[in-house]
Amino acid sequence: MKLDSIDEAIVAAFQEDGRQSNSEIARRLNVSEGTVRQRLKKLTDTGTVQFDVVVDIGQMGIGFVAFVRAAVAPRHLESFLDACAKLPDVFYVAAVAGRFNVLALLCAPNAEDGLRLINAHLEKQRGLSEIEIRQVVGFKKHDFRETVIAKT
Amino acid sequence: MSRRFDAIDLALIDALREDARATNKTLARSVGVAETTVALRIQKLRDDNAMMVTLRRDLYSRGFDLQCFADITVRGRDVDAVADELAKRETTTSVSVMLGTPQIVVVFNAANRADLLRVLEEEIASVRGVERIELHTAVDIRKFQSGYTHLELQE
Repeated sequence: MKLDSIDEAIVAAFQEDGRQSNSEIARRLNVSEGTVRQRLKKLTDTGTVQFDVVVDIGQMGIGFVAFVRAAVAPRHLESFLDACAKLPDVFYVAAVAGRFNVLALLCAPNAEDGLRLINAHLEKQRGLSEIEIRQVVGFKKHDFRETVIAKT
Repeated sequence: MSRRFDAIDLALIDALREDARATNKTLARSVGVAETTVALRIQKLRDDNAMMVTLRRDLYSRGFDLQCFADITVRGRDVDAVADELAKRETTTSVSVMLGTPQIVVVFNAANRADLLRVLEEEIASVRGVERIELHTAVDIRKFQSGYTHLELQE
């Protein structure tokens, strides 16, 4: 959906702090509370935006973040993607086009736990011919304000 | 910097993951604490850059059709300096420094094929020290949680 300048202002305000009430936002933007409520409803109903919680990686004690990439036989791709998506420590999964056909992002308290998770849940999956684990040593930028909202 | 989230913090985060817009009253009931405790805890977590509730935008509905992961091999320049410069580019949404080579992974969105080419040429290849770019393009995103980030990195 196309966002006008009021929608954009509402989105920006909620991005800063998603716990603000509609009336607080309305006051700040000098619009009515009904405007904020209706527009927010439309934005969420159309899958344009979604409220979410973001936790600081360092303070949460996550010492291991890795890009996991896998080459999976096409007929087993679906079940492999499902297996990845089911893991709570995996926060991103996609079928990709490139040298590998699956890409996932994984978080764990430490490398040992991360590797144990991969061994236990991914390496035994059928159709897997190659798996590559690349550890992130530092984030320079990570904009969490973007996502893909599953249409239901 | 590591912090100790206590059981109440963790229960609160779980409840917010269920419904980030739940009222303090509802959260208080599900966590089993007073409503004022909920309000104070959420504020404290936010102030400490430990947790925040935010609004995320769907990248497809913003007109981005392609989400790309570029492996960057750096040569002849400090990896950190290259990563810093890539992070400054407006189109990049994530820049990570990796263990081993390729040393950097950059995530960016593109509207279409022409835009993809523009980003690759103007925003990435133009950075001094970028020797090689290998691309993976997401064709079917199954899960995309905000999960974790470095909150102090955000403006």
